[in-house]
Amino acid sequence: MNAFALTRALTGIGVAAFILLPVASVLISAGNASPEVLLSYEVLAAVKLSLLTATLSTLLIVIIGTPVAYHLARSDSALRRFLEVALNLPMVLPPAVAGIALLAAFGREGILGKYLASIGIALPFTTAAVVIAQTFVALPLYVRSARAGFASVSRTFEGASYTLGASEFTTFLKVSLPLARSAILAGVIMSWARAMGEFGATIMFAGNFVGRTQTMPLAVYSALQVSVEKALVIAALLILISFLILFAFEAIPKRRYADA
Amino acid sequence: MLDLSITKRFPRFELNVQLKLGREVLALLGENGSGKTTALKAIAGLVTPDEGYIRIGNTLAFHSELGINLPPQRRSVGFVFQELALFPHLNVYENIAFGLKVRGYSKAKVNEEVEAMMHTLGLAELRSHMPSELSGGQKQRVALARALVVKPKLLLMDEPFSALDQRTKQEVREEVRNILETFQVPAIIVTHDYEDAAILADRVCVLSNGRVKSSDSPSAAMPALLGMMYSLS
Repeated sequence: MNAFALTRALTGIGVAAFILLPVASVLISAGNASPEVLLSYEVLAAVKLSLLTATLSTLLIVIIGTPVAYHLARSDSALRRFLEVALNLPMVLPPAVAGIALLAAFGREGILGKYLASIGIALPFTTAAVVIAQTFVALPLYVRSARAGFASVSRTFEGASYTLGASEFTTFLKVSLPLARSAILAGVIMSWARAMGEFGATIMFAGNFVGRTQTMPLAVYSALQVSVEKALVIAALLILISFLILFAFEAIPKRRYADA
Repeated sequence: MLDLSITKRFPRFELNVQLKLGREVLALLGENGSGKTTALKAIAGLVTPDEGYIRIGNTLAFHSELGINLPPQRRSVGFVFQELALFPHLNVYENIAFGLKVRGYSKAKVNEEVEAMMHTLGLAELRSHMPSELSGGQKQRVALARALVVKPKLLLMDEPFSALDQRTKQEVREEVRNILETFQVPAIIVTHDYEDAAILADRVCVLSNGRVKSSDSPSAAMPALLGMMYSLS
């Protein structure tokens, strides 16, 4: 083995160790924790809330993001270019800024929030605020993926569908959507994962209340101040969920339709 | 059957086509970039001309001055695309059934029509195959079946044999000729191959630089075609 190949191999091992050692350390340390910690009220409440909110926000993202992704892939209007910029913003915005921004808009004194408050709707520090924060940060991930999926569907398929008598909406449902399926699934998984991991915007906009707004990442942060053991257990659960996400990603069919 | 006069302007090109079609098969012959495909798409409603009119049967499908522009769904024009565009996620049966299903026909009616069509075109054995599992000739037959099963008033075929090798091409061309004879549907076939035109068409139109140069029987169109090719070289 020459020196270059050896360097590459050693670097590879080093990188793998750098990533896997901390992850493994959490799992090993958490393995020594007592089972009561896992079944404690805070931990169970955080797991339940995280699964609920991440799933709700992903659902919301698919409902509002799919038409947007299709529009981005098919239109060349001024609205498209405007949407493009708007959608990229949450991806580069620091999560804490996203949290402040949501407060400034929907907070009790916020631009829109004060009107909502006057009709009795208070969003901040509720479970709904968690879902809004997660949707805000994860929506662009889904839209990007779904948009790439729609863009890869040849317009000829849509043209064929039109000449066969299918309306634009039927064509979208029966042709474009199934052909973009892999990219849409990938987008769903990515945005769900991003929602599960959301921390900064949530803690600023929704606060940190057990059972109401304390999702798993927030619970890790809170637990660390009282019991390292509890923090490790929740972190280990998040790691297991991350592995499940990776497996789900691998399971997406990679079928390509290019030659048909 | 079909009567049209359309103009479509592009930055460096102007398509200007007048055509009349009876109960016949017309070959639209021309080099690449002569505007053949654009003309077909305009008839089907997939491209909107800048000026002119298109009459399909008794229906005015497009008229720039009257502001009429029927969408493709309401033109009753079958289109076989150059790349065929069989839906890759649907099997042969589902591809052929697509146009019937979106019309809201009953399951029994769809099944009856699709079975009859598959039987006529020798596709019955292939019903559950996916498009990716078919040969070039089989794909061509499925594309024709899918377009014809909804009984269009007019069939358009864009370079139907361009993806086939020489041997398969002759075979498929023979099949397409038989199918057109069986269904007696007026058709326009776009091609750059004179042989295709001679074998399939009752009449040939030569399109050059976006204009119809001649319109005649296949044999009579030969001199004009040669002239066109000569002037191009």
